[in-house]
Amino acid sequence: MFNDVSSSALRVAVAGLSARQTAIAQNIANIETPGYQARKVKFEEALSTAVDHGASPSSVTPSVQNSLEPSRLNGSNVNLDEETLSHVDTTMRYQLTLRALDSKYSMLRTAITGG
Amino acid sequence: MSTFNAIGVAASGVTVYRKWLDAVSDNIANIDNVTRTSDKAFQARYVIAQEAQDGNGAQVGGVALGSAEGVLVHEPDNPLADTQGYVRRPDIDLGSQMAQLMMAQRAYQANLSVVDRAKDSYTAAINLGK
Repeated sequence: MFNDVSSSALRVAVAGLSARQTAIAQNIANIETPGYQARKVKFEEALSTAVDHGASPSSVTPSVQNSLEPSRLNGSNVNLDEETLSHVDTTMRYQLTLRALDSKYSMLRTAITGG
Repeated sequence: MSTFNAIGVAASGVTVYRKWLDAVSDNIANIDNVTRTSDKAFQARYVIAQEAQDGNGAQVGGVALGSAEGVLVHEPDNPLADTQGYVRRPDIDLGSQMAQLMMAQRAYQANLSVVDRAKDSYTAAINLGK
């Protein structure tokens, strides 16, 4: 009941977006750290492949990669504009995913209480 | 990983850049210090940011000191002047300090806005199931 494809896909998405949120906070905290390489969290492709192939979405874990942006003079390659936009985007996606999860739960609650 | 991790990470960034701002304001406050030629000049402090050891955010890795040599200035009227009329002043460039100040200030603001946005996400998560 709680482990249908859409619920577990949504849970994986929440976990991935939360990891991305932390990675962005980490990148912005280290914006002036000499030699720091920005991190990018990826999970969307793996999640959509898993759903397409009928595999269990809960096996998908977010992967962390270093950013390929060119480094600035101090060796840090954090791009503040991109990080800020990505953070706004991640925040909204996170809230959207939570809202979808919330609707799933409220349907279950309706079924449990009988309306 | 704590529950509200992104806020803690951004807070560590805020702390680093506040220390950076403190260092720059201290440098600017002491930019006109005069010392005897036999003493050291005021040494500017430069904060070195570093990734935190536990991988959560940033920390101050150390402080680099500017030149103790400073510059010798001919000021025969200065009570601290030596027999040739020289005093020692710190070798600090106000322009570069102002640039550092702006940079640290913007980084501070960027980290604070991360806290703000992360708070919205966590609020949504707390309200799940209500």
